[in-house]
Amino acid sequence: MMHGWQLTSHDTLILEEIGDCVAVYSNATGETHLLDALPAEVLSCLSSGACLTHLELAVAVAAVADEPWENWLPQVCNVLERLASMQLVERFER
Amino acid sequence: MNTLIAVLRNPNCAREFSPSQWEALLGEGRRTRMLARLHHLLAQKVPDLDLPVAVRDVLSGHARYVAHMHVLVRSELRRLGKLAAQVDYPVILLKGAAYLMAELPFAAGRGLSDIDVLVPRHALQDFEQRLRDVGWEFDPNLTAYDNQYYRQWSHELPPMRHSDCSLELDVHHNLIQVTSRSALDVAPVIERSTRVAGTPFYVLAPTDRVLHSALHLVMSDELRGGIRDLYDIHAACLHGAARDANFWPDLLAHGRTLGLLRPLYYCLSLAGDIFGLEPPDTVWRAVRAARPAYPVDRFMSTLMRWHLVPQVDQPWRAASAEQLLYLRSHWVRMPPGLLLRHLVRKGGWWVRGDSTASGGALSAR
Amino acid sequence: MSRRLREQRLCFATGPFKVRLGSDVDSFSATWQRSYASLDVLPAEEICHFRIAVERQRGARRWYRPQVVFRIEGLTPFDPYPLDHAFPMFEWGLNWCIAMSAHDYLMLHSAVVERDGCAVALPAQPGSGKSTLCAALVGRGWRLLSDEFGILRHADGSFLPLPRAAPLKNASIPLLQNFAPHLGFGPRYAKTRKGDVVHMFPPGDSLQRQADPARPRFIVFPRYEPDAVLQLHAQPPEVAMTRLVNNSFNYRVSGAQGFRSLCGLVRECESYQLINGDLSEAVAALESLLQERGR
Repeated sequence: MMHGWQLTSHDTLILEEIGDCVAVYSNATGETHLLDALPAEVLSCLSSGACLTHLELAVAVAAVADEPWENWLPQVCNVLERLASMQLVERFER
Repeated sequence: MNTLIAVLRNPNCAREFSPSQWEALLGEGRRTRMLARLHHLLAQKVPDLDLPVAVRDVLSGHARYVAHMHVLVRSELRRLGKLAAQVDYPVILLKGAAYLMAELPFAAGRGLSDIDVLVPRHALQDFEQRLRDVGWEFDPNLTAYDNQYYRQWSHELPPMRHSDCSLELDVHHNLIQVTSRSALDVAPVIERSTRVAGTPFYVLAPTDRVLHSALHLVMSDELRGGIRDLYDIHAACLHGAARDANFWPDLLAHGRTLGLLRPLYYCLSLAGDIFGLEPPDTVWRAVRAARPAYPVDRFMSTLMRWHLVPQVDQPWRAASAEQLLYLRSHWVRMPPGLLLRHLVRKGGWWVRGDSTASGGALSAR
Repeated sequence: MSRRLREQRLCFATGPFKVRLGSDVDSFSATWQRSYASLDVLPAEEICHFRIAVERQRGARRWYRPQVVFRIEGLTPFDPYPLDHAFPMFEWGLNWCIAMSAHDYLMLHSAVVERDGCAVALPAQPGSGKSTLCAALVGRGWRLLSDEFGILRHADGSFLPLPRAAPLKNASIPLLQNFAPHLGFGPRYAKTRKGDVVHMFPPGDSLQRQADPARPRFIVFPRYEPDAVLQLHAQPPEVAMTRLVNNSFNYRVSGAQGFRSLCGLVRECESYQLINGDLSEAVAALESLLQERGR
């Protein structure tokens, strides 16, 4: 069994581009967050309800950013931890 | 209070309202903190009725505020749920949080500003420690007297707060003050509580929900919520009876074993008078048998009616009713010596009424 | 009108809200009537949002230290004020009622003025010179939408006016009276909680146009610093968004709709930080901003 990441259950997010950032509204907590491009990209990958591992997310981000996925891996892991502390994503055993 | 009660009894009557009746409804709704409730009631029961603009604005503005409080409570319950899932005793939600979690229809538009939970007394220390471990704390300004008062005499811990959360958390181990002269064995209530599917939380059985609300309305010093709480009881009875044929006989039986027939009598009698609630005859006769001797019954019923249904032209009635009921609620809950000490500590409660109708003058804590 | 006030039958509109007002305080009635002389009084049977009374406090104190209470629907949410401060109490109390109730709108803590179809929001904390700057612009002929509330309508993202008497404090009072002596000013209220206060009355034109919304064009965060050299910096929208979230009366209550409206506002507007030490310079800077970058 390995764990992936998904949006916090029961939550739906609204994402809006504002200047160089993405503003994110969580319907479950009522909180607003301003995020950089990378965390916003990670959230939009998960926003269809998908449950993805950090590897899959690094590959998805690399496809948008045109760089080898290995380069993204550490940053993606970092971003996931930060998003989890904001209650936007959670670990999921699959 | 006539327009509010008329609408609660029969929302259709709003179709005939004159401008001054609409304004009276806004006033009564604000004074009883039922504006958001009115918004949902009218939207559900008379959806085709075009409300006057000012009425629509005020009701929906307050409904939005309450909906926001519900988001905060739900969000906080998700965090508390992680804690509740780790323990081997039931964590029972009470009042507003329970109505929300159990998705009861009368939760819509019901305001709340704190979360109340009940845990068995033996688990109280463990639960308190777990809450403190995740950052819940007591008010640092709590005096030694208050702290000791809660620990020794109260049925709950002092209110707890969390830096990430604007809500207050009240942890109870009983439904009524432990000093009360009508002490309550809460074990069967905990035994009957049921788990809310898909959550780690428990809620009271429908009968106990009514008994708890009745107890709270009759004994509590938070009298201002009066008519709102009575309406909760009315709605909870209708909801319980519609779902379970045994609701009324069970309510009677549980009220009897818990020794709560007296508060149940007062509430059912008032809900009958005010909202037209009709328990089955056999049940009502048995509950009614628990009423006090005639003069006391008449005195209490009149006081409670004055308090719950204040007349704008006779504000002194509501004010004197509040003060007498406040004194009584403490009389019931505390031995006389302790009562005197508490009132002296709280200081000057009797000069604060100041003849404003239900102005919330008596905030005991 | 005084009789209507005494009988609680005076109905009037302030922006999108209707108020039924009663008072037995003559000095209050007089000031109210001077401030809102250009308002149309509504029929007494109008259904109003708020029923407000500004009344003498009864009881023994009335003989040696008369006080006034603010009632909304018969409730008294605040401690009484000294009787001669009835007008500031009414203004403050009505603002409180609106801030606590009007959650169908996104309410920013901001002054809003308009010229040539461009609304400028001046959101700021107390002490930033927001009211002073707002009053000065009004003195130069800008339309006053509000000194205190940026009321944003979700449906179309426009600002709704709420023209009211604007309290000027302490040093701002002589500054404004010299800068724009033609404006209407109320009596001086000494030693209120915020020091000495004089109200600038809303100009008749602003009152008559209180039903006309305005399109937001600029968000300017003012900051008064004594002797500062004037600086007007563009601000990225994400910074404006963060500041407005924290400056709103009811952003969180407004939920997803508030989020969308605020995103729309910072996208539609250019945002600036304005640091100023001189009122005339600040006014000139905003006037040339409007000339160069207005619609």
